[in-house]
Amino acid sequence: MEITLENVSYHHIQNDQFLYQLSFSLQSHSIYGILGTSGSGKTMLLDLLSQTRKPTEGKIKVPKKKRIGYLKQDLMHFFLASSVKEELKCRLYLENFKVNEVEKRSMEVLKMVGLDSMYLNRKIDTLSRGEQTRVALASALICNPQLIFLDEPTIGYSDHDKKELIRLLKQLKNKRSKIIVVVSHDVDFIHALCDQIIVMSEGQVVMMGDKYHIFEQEKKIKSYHVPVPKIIAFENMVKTKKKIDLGYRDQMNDLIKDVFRHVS
Amino acid sequence: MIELIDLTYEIEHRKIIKNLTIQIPKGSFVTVLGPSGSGKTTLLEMIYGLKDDRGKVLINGMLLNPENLNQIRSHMSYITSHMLKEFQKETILSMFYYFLENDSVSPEHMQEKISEVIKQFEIIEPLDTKVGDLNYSRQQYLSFAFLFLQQPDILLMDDALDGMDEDDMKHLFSILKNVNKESDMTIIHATSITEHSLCGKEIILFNDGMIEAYGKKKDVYEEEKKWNHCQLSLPFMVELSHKLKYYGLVNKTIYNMSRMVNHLWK
Repeated sequence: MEITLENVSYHHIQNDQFLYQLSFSLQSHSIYGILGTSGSGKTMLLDLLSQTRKPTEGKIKVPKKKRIGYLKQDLMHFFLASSVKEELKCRLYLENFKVNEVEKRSMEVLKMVGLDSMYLNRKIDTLSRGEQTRVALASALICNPQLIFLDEPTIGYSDHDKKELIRLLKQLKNKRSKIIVVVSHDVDFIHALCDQIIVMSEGQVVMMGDKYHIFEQEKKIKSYHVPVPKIIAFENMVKTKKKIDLGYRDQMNDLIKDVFRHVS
Repeated sequence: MIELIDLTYEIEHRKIIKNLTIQIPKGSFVTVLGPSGSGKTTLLEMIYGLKDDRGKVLINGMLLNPENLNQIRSHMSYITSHMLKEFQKETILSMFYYFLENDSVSPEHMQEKISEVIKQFEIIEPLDTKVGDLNYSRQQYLSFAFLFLQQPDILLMDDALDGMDEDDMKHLFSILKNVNKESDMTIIHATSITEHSLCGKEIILFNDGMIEAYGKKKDVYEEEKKWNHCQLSLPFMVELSHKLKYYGLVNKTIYNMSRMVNHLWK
């Protein structure tokens, strides 16, 4: 399963927003992270991938008959109902799920995103921002989509919530054939979650590839005003300042062991 | 000075804030950290008088009540995310006037105040730029400039920096540090991003409507168990220092990465 873009451009005349000449493909069994400054075109790219907008030029090939789950950033325009229960029900009805599946699926998906069944009766506007994000994620995932697009899924999340989300998405990735694309300004989160990185600047894809390969090029990525994850920044600094190659580690405990080995 | 006495907030039979008593002295720069749903937003809303239930809020010794709410609020600014959502068609200049009129400043002082803020925030956009033509990060950055026209004594920030670009955020933090130091502005910053606490002076760990810890940041960073209990991670450099300390490689917390690298490989 893959999504392919061939010379895709998009131009929104009123807002003067644009995407320019995008050609790449996304495969299943990888999690893609899109980085870039505010206004670089990240959300618009997700809109195109999820077929929420159509390109003005070029072609996007998306696998047919696959369900799409799209968590949008602007939650107030995302929710279809005012209570959690109704919201989840709406999503299932839209995808023609049967009435007798609603309760079971609702409970399952709430558990998945770390909310208990008490939340079913809550009004969405009485929830905190972090809780609303979870409900939105539940909405996006309840129909078991094969194509998952998440725009800023960690707003209002604590570090613990982020770790749980990473665990959940990695599980989804491994279970069945899925394409997962995540937009976030939180580079540490993207680093911990994704395998592949896409860097955008002024409507163009300026860097794309394996995450270590991308983050290794610290100067280049910073020239697009995107920071590198802190753990990588540390490893890069040791490499350039002290000419010591610690390698790249995802976990701080592994980094500490490397440091200990090299110092003593 | 902000004093909260036995503050409680209950909705739908759930207590969001639980008998909270605390004093925050003038000139504090407190980061309020806590898991999502812990009550951070409600706490700030109660200080600003947007919500009330039981207990007292005193701002500079004055009891907050419906009669003096506007008077007390004239010393406070409250900022959250998407501040300028309703103002997308306005220009930067008209926003300046909008915020000044709220404050009833004489016309001759208006220009002066605007110039000051433009200088302070190093605003580079032409003033006839429409708010809607700016990206989200710049909009949020400029909201602070607009609020600063009123020279608040107290600034309440609720997750106001989430989603901002690194450059704007760094710039903003240096401005905040400066006004906190120079003009004793009290800043209360509620956020779920623990890394932001490095830019403040004090930390409140907030969990389930109660204060888990409150003190100078370097002291609160040492209370690792409480961070775990609140499901929070320490900022990267603090955690790195703690772990390296365990291995005997450093003997104190080093906040600066470059200094840390030089310390490890002398």
